[in-house]
Amino acid sequence: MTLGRLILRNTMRRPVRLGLTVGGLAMVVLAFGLIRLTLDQWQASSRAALKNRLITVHAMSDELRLPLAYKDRLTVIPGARTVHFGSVFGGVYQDPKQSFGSFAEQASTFFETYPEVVLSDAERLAFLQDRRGCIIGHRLAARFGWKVGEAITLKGTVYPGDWELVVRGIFRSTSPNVMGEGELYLHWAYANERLKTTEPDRADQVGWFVVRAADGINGQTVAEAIDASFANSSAETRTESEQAYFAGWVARSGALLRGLEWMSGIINGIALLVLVNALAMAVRERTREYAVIKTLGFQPLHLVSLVLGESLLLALLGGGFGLVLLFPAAQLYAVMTQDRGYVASYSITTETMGMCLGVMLLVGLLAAVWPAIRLIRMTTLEGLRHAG
Amino acid sequence: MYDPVVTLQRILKVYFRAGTEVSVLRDLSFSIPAGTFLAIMGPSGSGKSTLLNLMAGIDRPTSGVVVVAGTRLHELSEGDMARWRARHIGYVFQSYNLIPVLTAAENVELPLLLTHLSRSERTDHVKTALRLVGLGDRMDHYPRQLSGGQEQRVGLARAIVSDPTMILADEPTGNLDRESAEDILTLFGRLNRELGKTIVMVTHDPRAAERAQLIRHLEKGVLETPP
Ligand SMILES: Nc1ncnc2c1ncn2[C@@H]1O[C@H](COP(=O)(O)OP(=O)(O)OP(=O)(O)O)[C@@H](O)[C@H]1O
Ligand SMILES: [Mg+2]
Repeated sequence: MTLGRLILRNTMRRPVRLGLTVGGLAMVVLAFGLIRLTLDQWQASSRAALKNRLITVHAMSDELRLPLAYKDRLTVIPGARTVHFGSVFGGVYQDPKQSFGSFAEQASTFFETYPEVVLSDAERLAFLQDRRGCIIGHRLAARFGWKVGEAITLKGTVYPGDWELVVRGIFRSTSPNVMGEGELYLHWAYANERLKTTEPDRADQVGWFVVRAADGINGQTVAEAIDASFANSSAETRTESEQAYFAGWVARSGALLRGLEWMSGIINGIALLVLVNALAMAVRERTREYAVIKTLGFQPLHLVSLVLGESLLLALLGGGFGLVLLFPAAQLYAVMTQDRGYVASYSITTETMGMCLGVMLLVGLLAAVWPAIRLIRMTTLEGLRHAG
Repeated sequence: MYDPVVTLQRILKVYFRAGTEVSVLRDLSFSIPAGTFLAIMGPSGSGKSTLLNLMAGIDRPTSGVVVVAGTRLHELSEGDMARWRARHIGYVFQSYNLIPVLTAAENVELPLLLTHLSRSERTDHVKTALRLVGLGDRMDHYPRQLSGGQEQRVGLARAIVSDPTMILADEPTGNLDRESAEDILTLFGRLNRELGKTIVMVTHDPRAAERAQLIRHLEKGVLETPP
């Protein structure tokens, strides 16, 4: 027998209270973990974004579209290397609730514009050569069980009608926070061609242009040149580097982010209270036992180690369970927070796990302070007289 | 061997309660020769437990000198006092005070965690102590699986396992039926006679006191030899 075993037995003594305490702590770790993932995701997006990739959208709203004709004028802007464009396609596969992102893109400039896309040369070529072809992220492929070469039928929302597409490639992304792995890309030219017959008014329009600034050229200067060139035209443009776009978005969400930071601190405060409460109850109940142990000749430090051990054990159990729950929760969270088909991938890094457990260790340490002080102050005689 | 084991000189113990002084022990002096089995009797509130706790090193006198096992207790720090208790005192409580989440053997082993004994030596000591109190077959029972008499015997085994200088017992038979009480008292007698242990037992029960070699009455804070 060792004091460690006594700690273990004491911890397991009241199964219901143990369950509630560990459950409470696990919930906190879960919430804390999800908040961390959200914050990480936002920061990673802005960090991973390319500085020389400029996004040009309608100045009034992201939702409005720009004339395709702008392409020629963009091409001649000094410092612009590639001019790419695309639109939201809005395809639905069977069940509208099972939505995913789908985009119509100019195929010829797609891979140069998005070097994050990892695809074999053969699949790349197959996609470029098939106007009805599409490429999909590997997460999307896994979700619907789609294979390369498979024909799929999507119902178009932005581009009306039934669309028969052939999967020509399944890609991964070197930077899933910027280029997701849960989306579908098809030829803009093909989508636009059909639109010309069904809704000619809306044809020859694009959602955005993406301009790669030439190496060594300041993206900001190019962006300003673009917006200047379309000033006073029917559709003025707003151009930002992708990084500035994300950074601006993060800045605009600053209050929210700070709120989340606060919240993650507050819920750890809750964890602390949950644990202090459980420990204080346990120590009060066992006051006499601690006094007996003292009578046998144990030092106050021995009692402190008993309480501290129990506190850390509870905290780590809560942290462990919370982490176990965090994995499925992160997946569910990703699906639930998807934005117009854009499913973020919340990957749980060792850093996140370390942070969750680290915070719980700290909570375990702090929670033991008050009960430990009470035990140190308790005289053996008082403790022995304690009823209960 | 310390002889006398206990020497008390001019012990005063005063409690201050709501502005008034309550003196529990008044100018009390006496000593206990090594190997004595002493019973202390007296009415409730006469200070029997207080006296026992002074000897056990879990309470301090208001003034006076307490020398037990050659150590001037009133001069020790809390930490040193605890270390001293571990070596010299085996304490038996009225309400057994076993740790409910530990088995009989583990309860008895508890004081040995403060010694330098190895794991197997500890196990040997525990077995010896539990056999001595007749519970060699109940090692793995938890306190709730034992009768009151058996629990108290485990309490006794815990008190003697580290071979202390002295055994102190505060109404050890107070919660027990006659038969179990007899068992405990017989064990005290054997420990005293066969192992030469010094035992101080506080009791209300004259039949229990009779089993001791020596009886002292505590009345109004003063120790008296019975007529
Ligand atoms: N912490 C305390 N504060 C104030 N008075 C105390 C305290 N502890 C004990 N007393 C008082 O000291 C007196 C002696 O108490 P003690 O417990 O030693 O008596 P006792 O002889 O053991 O009684 P009993 O037979 O009921 O166990 C009592 O009057 C009690 O009220
Ligand atoms: Mg008493």
